[in-house]
Amino acid sequence: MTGKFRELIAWELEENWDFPVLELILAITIIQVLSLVTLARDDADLLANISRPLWSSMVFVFAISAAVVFGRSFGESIERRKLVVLLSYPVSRVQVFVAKFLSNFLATLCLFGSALFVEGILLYMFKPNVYWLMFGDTWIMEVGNAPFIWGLMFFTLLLVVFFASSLMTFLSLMVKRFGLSVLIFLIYLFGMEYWAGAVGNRVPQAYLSLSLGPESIVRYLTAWYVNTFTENYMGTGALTVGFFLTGFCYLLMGGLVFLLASLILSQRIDLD
Amino acid sequence: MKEPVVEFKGVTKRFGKVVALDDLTLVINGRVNGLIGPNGAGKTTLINTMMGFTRPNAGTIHVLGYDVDSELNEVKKRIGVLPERPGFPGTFSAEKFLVRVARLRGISKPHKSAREALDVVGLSEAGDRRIRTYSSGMYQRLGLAQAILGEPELIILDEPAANLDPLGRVDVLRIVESYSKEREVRFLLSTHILYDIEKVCDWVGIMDSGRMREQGSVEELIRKYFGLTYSIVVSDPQVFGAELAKTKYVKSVAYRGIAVIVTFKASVDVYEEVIRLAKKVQVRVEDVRPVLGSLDEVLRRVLIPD
Repeated sequence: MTGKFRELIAWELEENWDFPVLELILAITIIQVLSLVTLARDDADLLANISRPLWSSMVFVFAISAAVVFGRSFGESIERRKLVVLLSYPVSRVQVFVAKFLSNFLATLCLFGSALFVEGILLYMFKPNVYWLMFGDTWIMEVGNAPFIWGLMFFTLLLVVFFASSLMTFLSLMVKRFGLSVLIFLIYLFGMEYWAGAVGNRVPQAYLSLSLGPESIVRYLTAWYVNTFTENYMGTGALTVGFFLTGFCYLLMGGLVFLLASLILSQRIDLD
Repeated sequence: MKEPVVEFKGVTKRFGKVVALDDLTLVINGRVNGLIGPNGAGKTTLINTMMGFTRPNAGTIHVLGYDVDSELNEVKKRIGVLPERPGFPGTFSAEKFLVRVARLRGISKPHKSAREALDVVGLSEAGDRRIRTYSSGMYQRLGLAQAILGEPELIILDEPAANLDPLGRVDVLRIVESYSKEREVRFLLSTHILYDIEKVCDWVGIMDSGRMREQGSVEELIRKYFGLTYSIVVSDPQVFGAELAKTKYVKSVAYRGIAVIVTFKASVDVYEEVIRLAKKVQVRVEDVRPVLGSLDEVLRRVLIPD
């Protein structure tokens, strides 16, 4: 890593992850995690019912938080002419783009990943029947499977954040406005949810959503792991390999396409 | 022989249907160069294309001898820029910001350079404050500080006096003069404050509708546009003026006190003509001298021709 690239990453982290963004995202994540831990306790059925809407929306919190971070980093920096200032120094557009994307992506991932990690530790300490309810009702009877499931959740989180980050970066560069890009992002996100919900969950297209897509990855791979490496059996219900691949490819390939498009756009964009 | 500050060859830049730069061919090679013109004339677009912020639709641009398209990094290494409405990171302190800028520029002693730059622009006591707490004048001074950091070969200032109080403006002019004379740094200024241009620039370009309408030194431009205007004091201005107005080589006649202000259509032997006409109408000539206007009058004449 060159000195300039390291400096750009430090610049980005210091500028973009300052109060109140870091504190706000951290607070939201802690609320999510605590609600999940409360759910996991045996005597918490009542609380579980009350707080269910909160934890079921966690994946959206990840996606929208990532979108806000990347919208600020790209859209706002164009809008407020911070990018013009940065590009007046002897750094290339590619360096600035990669430094911005990488630093924000890793910081977002570290923040949410840490939350997941803490959640895993708390769940292990309380020794409940382990509910990994974040992406659906995957109920694992054996606590020993928890690390694998946690790994899957982290991997899925990575995909969700990657997709949201790439999409938002693309939108920010396209419209050059923070507020407008967030609005388009939300319309896209919830538009897809509405459409995917409308087609039901029995066709692969239904898994082009952030509520079903990540769940399909965790449930399908968990079932594969349990059936392959343990003596237990876990059914996948109606979840076929096609459904799993739809959810997986949507997040991964979609993210890659938007990232590549963003990179090309960042080289051609007029900063007038 | 130093390379020209900038060379534009057939540069066109369009934003949709708006032509911001219209087949612009130009060489700027002064010590302190000024760009003036109305809003939307293309001044900022010209600077933006020099810095690679926007790419022209046609033509080539060389800055300090380097091709902007293929050697942009070499260009940036040699230039300090204060862009129009710059956005600095509000969460940084001014000193930390300048240290980071110095590192990006590859300056060997970033802390020392940052403190020097803050001192030059009069922000040394506020260097540890966060930029977001700065007033607009301090913000502009900080912009100047990051532009002069490390003494680049060329400093581009787009509206450097924006948001500055009169003392701040004087400071900017002082910095431009001292850096250009003592340290041989070259400048390109874009501003609406013509007094600043007249005071410090040795080359001026007047832009309008994406074209360079006039260029040269302030003195050259003033002589060009006012060299044909004379103030003539005679014993009977009304009679003399009326006689002057009848001649085919006079463009306009006006009266200012006891003087007749006359603008000739083309270069004529003014003194000979004045004496001939004075004899004809029998008035006594007391004084004949050229009237030289100011840069804002030149600008008006260039942009609004009669």
